[in-house]
Amino acid sequence: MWKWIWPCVHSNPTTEGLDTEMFDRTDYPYTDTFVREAIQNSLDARLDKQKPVTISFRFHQEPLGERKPFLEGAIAQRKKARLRVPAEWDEGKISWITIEDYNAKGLSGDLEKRSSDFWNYWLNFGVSNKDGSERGGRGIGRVTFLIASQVQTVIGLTRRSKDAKTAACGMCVLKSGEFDGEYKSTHTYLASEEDNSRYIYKLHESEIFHRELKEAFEFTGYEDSGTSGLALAIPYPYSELNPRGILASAIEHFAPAIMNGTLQVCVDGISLNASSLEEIANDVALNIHSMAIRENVERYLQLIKEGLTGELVEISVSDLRNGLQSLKDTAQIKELQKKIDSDELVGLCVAFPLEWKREVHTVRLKTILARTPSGFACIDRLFREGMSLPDVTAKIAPGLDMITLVDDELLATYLNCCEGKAHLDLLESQMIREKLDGYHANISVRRFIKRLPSDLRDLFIPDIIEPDANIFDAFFSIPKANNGNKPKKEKDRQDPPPPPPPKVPAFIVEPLPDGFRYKANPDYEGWPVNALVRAAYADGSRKPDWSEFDFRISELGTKHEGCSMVINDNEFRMSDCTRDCSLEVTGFDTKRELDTRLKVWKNAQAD
Amino acid sequence: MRRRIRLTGRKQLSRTSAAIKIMELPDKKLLTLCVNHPDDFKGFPKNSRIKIKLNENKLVEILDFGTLDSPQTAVEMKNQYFSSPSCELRIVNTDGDKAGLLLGSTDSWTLNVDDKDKSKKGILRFLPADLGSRTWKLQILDDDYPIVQINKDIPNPSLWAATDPVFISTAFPAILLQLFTDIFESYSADPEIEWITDWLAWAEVIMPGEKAPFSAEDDKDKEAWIEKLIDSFAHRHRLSQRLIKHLDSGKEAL
Repeated sequence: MWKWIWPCVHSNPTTEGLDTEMFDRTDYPYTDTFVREAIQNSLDARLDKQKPVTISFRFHQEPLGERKPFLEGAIAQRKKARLRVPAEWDEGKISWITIEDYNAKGLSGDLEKRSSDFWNYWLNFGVSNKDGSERGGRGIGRVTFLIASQVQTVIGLTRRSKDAKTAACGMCVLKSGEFDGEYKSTHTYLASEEDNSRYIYKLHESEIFHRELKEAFEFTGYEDSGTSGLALAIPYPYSELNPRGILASAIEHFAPAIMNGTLQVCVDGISLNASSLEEIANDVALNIHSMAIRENVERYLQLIKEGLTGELVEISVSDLRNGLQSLKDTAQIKELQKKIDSDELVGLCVAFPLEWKREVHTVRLKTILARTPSGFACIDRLFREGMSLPDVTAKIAPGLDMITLVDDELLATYLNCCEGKAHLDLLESQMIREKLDGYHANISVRRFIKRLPSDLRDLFIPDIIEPDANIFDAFFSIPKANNGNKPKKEKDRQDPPPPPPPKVPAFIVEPLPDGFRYKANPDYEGWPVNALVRAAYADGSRKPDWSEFDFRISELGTKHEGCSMVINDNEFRMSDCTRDCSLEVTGFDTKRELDTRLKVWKNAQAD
Repeated sequence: MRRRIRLTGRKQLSRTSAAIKIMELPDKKLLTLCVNHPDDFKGFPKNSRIKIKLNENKLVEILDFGTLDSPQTAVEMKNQYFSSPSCELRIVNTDGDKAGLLLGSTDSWTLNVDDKDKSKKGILRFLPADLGSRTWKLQILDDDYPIVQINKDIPNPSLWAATDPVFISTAFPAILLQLFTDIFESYSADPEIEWITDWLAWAEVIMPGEKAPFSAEDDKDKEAWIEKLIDSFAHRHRLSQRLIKHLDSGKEAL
């Protein structure tokens, strides 16, 4: 068994769980997030810019066998921490995904220095390679791999381009707490021992470890000299991740990078590249999340192709605050408007100034515009260096399809600074402003690009002529007859059967000035009963937590009659309650609100 | 059985007591507030503050809409990246020992950017239009809802028309006068045209129990009914107070 180390937390603070909110979202399927982060990491680590970076996803399902020695340390610790372990583990089965990239740099940096890229990846969460000149650096995205695993575990093996060294590590999420007499941290690591002088771990470095790891998880790369990259194994992946979904997400979010030969994606032997893109896109179209792209994937690819290879008309914008207003009604725009009206594709190269490190540069982006075909939803995507930022869209997008490609290196670097951790949108938080200030860059470019989808539509589509019924509804509106719900079907309109009579509760709860009283309900007939009352200060959640620092029952005033009582933490367990039973508890903090819960049950009836 | 015991005496407010919306402009987002049921706020001290708490993905922002006495209609959101925050309306005490005590609050619900309230049907339409030097114009149609045209050269005309205290306090009463005068002149009974029926239903909510006097022989009765409707509308939305507060804040700025 290979050792996993669950370190002590010492006096450092801990954060439970993963910071999943930015990835685990209802508006984006998890597959999209997973694929976006995996591919973006590999694109950022691309080695030879003349060749595509290849990323391979493979799904495996086998007996536990030779995988067991690499995982049992982590699984034992998860069990000790009372965290979930899939039933397959005890049945001796395992499924896993391998993600391997080729023509990539691998996880570089000094293996003995905590602040290196290698240890940033495994230990310094939220820190990525961001010197402004390079993107990503496998930053926060690793969280997506941990979320993908039912045992929140990822194992990685890297061969580095700079020094041809091979290094492997693994990480599994646990929870902090006192175990075996020590206060343990939130993560455990696949490593041989702690290196406390350098605040890192000594890795399992033997040749046998690397060889058996490769064989166990079926990593296929980096055998030949000169090859490098990062291979990851994600054990027990959730079922939402599947090959078709991965192909569809890659097409939706990285089509320009695939089409221009920067990226190749292999999924279980299917190779998605510039030549196979169209065929595979048609095959997996139904798995694409965006309705506009799903319904007309050929048009989506046609617009991107035009952006990459078509002729472009250059327009210049000097005053970013006014956006495209100054171009309105110019001969150039009228000419382009005619083309759009006659259903031609129009390619624009928009040039504008960007101040960066105290120098003003002229940067450019490409936009392809075309009338949306009748009956289809509007396509609206912005790609930064081949990856889509799906939230940079026009709020109202009538009638005009639009693809925007940002490949200018400086502009891409600037936008990357504005994207936030999930890379879905261009944000304007205090943190982002401070980051831009560091480069002496102005927020006006972010605002210009954010509203570009709307501004371009304003420029090329006549004013909206439909009146808006919602602007004044705070003052002038009436309730809708069906209250906004869908009309019921005819069969649902039949009178429902009369409801059963309400169940008579066993207890009545009465608020007191500084507490509460549970009293037997005189209308209840099923005595005797048992009851459990829990009390906690309300904290806004559905099930507020109790802490002994909130209140101790021994310090409160409690009275009970008509039952026998056992008190435990914040629970009152009442047995054999009769019809004159009551429980009164007083002495709570009147500046807080109380949440009380009552559970009633009866003893099993004797024959 | 679960029971929340309010030891602090906090009052539960209904979600519908105020209409809260996010409005997105090109470079900022605003939160707008319109009190629907002033009676819901009657028991609170007039100088209590109205606050709205937004919460999304561990980000929290509390926006201050001024006092109950003179509430603001729109406040800029500092966190521009809220997309569907959960929202809670709160009334907060400002006086004495119990300053900061929560006097009332709603349950929280999810707000969406540019969310259209599906439970409501707007009966006055908005349209930006080329009006030359005019600011606004009411267009009354035979078979569709009336439209308020707003000069399209006004920056953000939709936001301005929905939130500007000068426009709201002066134009809305004029719109009501013009609209109901036109209805009474054109019809001698409820014509059962959808948009007119809806406007009469709306008037019934503003002025319960006061049926529109279609059959009144004296025009003065109709005029009195319209005047009363405008008074009720102005009272409900505190039109003069809004305007005065706006003018006062202008003076302070000077």
